[in-house]
Amino acid sequence: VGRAQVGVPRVPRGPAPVTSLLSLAVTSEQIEHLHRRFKQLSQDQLTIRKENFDSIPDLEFNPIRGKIVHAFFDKRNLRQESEGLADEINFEDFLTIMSYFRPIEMNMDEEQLDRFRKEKLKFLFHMYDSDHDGKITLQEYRNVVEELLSGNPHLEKESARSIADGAMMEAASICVGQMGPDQVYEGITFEDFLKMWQGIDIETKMHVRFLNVDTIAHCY
Amino acid sequence: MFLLLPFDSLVVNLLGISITVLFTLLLVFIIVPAIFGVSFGIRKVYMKTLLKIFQWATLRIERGAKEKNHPLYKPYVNGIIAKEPMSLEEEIKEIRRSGSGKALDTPEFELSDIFYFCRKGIETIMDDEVTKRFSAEELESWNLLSRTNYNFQYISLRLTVLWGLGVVIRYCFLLPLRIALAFTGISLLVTGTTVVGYLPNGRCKDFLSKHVHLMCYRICVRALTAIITYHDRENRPQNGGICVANHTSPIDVIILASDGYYAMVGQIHGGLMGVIQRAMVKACPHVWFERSEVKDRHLVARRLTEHVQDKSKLPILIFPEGTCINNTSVMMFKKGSFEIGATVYPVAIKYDPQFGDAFWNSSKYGMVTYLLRMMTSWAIVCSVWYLPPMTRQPEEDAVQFANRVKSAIARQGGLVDLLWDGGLKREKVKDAFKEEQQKLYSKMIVGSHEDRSRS
Repeated sequence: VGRAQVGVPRVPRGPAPVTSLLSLAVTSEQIEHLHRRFKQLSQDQLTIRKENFDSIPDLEFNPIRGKIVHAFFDKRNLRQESEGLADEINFEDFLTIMSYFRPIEMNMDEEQLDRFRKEKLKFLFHMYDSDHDGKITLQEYRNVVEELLSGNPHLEKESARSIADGAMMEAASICVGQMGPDQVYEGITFEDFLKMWQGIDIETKMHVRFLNVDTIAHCY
Repeated sequence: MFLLLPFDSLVVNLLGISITVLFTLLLVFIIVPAIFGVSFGIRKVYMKTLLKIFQWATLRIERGAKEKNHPLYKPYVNGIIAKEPMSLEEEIKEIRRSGSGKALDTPEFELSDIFYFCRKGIETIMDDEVTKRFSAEELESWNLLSRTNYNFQYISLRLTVLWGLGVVIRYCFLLPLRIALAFTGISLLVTGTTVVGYLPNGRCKDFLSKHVHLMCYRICVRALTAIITYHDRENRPQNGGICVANHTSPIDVIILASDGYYAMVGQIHGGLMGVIQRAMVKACPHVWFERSEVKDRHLVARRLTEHVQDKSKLPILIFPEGTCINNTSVMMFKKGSFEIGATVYPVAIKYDPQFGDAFWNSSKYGMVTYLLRMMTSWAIVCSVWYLPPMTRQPEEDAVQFANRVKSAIARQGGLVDLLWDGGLKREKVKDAFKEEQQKLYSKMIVGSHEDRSRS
C-alpha cells in the first residue's frame, strides 16, 4: 500500500470543449462517464482507432460489428465536410457519434423532432450505404443481409442473396411503384429510405438512456 | 532433547491466565445477558466509535485525492446505462408492427431489422461488464476494510497504520472471540434442545423450547456483532401465520429468530447443519424436508398447510425469493408460500453496508468463506421492519398476492422492486446465449423464407 498511481482517469487539460458539444444536451456527469469509457477504450491515449474496439468482448457477437465500428469513423457521421473514413477519432468525435443515440426531450417542437428523426435515420442510412454514393444499391443491401445472417453457419449464400433480393424488390415497389420491364432500379436514396421508415417511431426507440445513480436509503 | 527455559513456564502461565480472564469476561458480558435478553449497550457505543473513525478516514482519503487533483473513482452497481430488457423477437416485431401495416406473420427481412443490432452494439460500446466490476453496494465512506476500498492509492501513512491496527483487531481479537461465541451458541442449542426433547409434551416443554431457541440465537447474534433495530414490534407474527421476508444472507434467519419464535422450514442437510436440525426438531415441530421431497410441490404445500392450521404451532419463516439478493432490490417472490391461504406477516430486512457487507454471492464464495468474511467485518448493522399482516383477497390469485407483499416489503425497506427472477444471478449470460441471438434472428428470416418458397 503506497502511493502508486494505478491508471487513474484524468480530466483532460486541453482546449475548452467546442460549443458544438453544448448542442448534445447531455449533463456534465454523463460526459464524465463517457470520457471515462473513452479512456478505457483508448487505453489512455487521446484518440481511438478501429483496433481499440476489439477490446470489447460483447461486441464480438454482434453480426454487424464491422458496420457499427465503421460508423464511428465515417466522416459523414462526424459531420465533417470531407468524404471517406477517418483513421482515428478523438473524444469530441466520440461524443458526436453518441449524440445520435440521445433520447428525445420533452420540450421539443415539431420541427426539432423532425430534424432529430432525420439525423437518426441518416445514421442508419450510412450504415447501409458503404460506398458513400448516397444510394443503397442491391449489392450493398445484399451485403447487410449477409452480415446479419452470418451467425447461422448452415445458411447458404444463395439463400441470403435471395432474401436480400426479395426485400429489395419490396423496397422498390414501395418507392417507385410499378416498374416497366426495362426500368432498372438504381438504388434506395435517402428520400426513399425515409419513406420506408414512415410510421415507425424510430426516435423513441433509437436511444440509450443513462441511469440515475440515486442515493440508497440508510437504516436509521 | 529440548531445553526448557525458565522463561517458557512464565509464558505458559500468562497464557493460561489471559484465557481464563477472557472467558470470564465473555461469560459475564455476553453470554449471561444473552440468556436473559438484557443488553449493556456496549455494541451501540462500539458502533458510534467506529462511525467517527470511518468519517475521519474518508476525509483523509478525500483530502489526499484533492491534493493530487484526481477525481475519486466511484463504482456503479448497475452500469451507467439502462439496457432494454426486451428480447430480439419482441423488439423486431414491435418495430415492424409500427411500420407498414403488414401482417405480423410475414417475417421476411425488413430494412428496420438492422436497428436492433445497431442499438445493442452501441449499448455495448458505451457500457459493458468492465464498468460493472463491483457487485457490492456503493459506499459513501470507507470503512477500513480493504475489500471495499477502490481508492487505495490515496492512503497516507496515518491511515495505513490505522488500517493495519484494524486488521490486527479484527483478525486476532474479534475473530477468535466470535468463533468462541458461535461455538458456545451452537453447542448450547444442540444440547438444550435435545434435553428439552425428553420432556413430555405440554406447556412446560413449549415454554422451555422457545427460550432455549431464543437464547442460542441471541448468542449467535452477539457472535456476529449484529446490531439490530426492530421497528413496529406490535406486528410480530402470530401462531398460525406465515412470516415472509426478503433474503440477503443466511444470517437473516438468526436475525429474525432472535426476536420471536418461529418454526423453520428447509431441507435436511448433512454434517453439522443436519445435527442442529435434528436436535431442534426434538424440542418443537419444525418443518424439515428430505431432499427428494423438496421437488414434490404438493407434498410441500400439504405439510405447510397442516402446520399452519394447527394454532398451537409456531409461525413459519419463509424466504420466498429463494436466493440471496444483494440487498438493493427485491426480486420475484415464488408463489408457493402464498397459495397456502394463511395470514402473511411481511418483514423487511435492510442491512447497512457501512460496517460490513452482508451480501452472500453464492456463486463466488462458499458458506465457510462467507462466514469468515462476516466474522472479520466490524459489525453487521441492520434494521428490521415488521409490516402489518396481509391476507389474500378473493379476487387476487397467488401471484398477484405475492407481488403485493413484495412491493410492500420493497417500499418499506427502501429497496428496488424488480421483476426478474433471482436465478439470473447465478447464470451469467453465457456466451452461447449471445450467439443464440444471431442464430435466432437468422432462423426467423430463413425459416419463413423456406416455407414460402415451398408453398
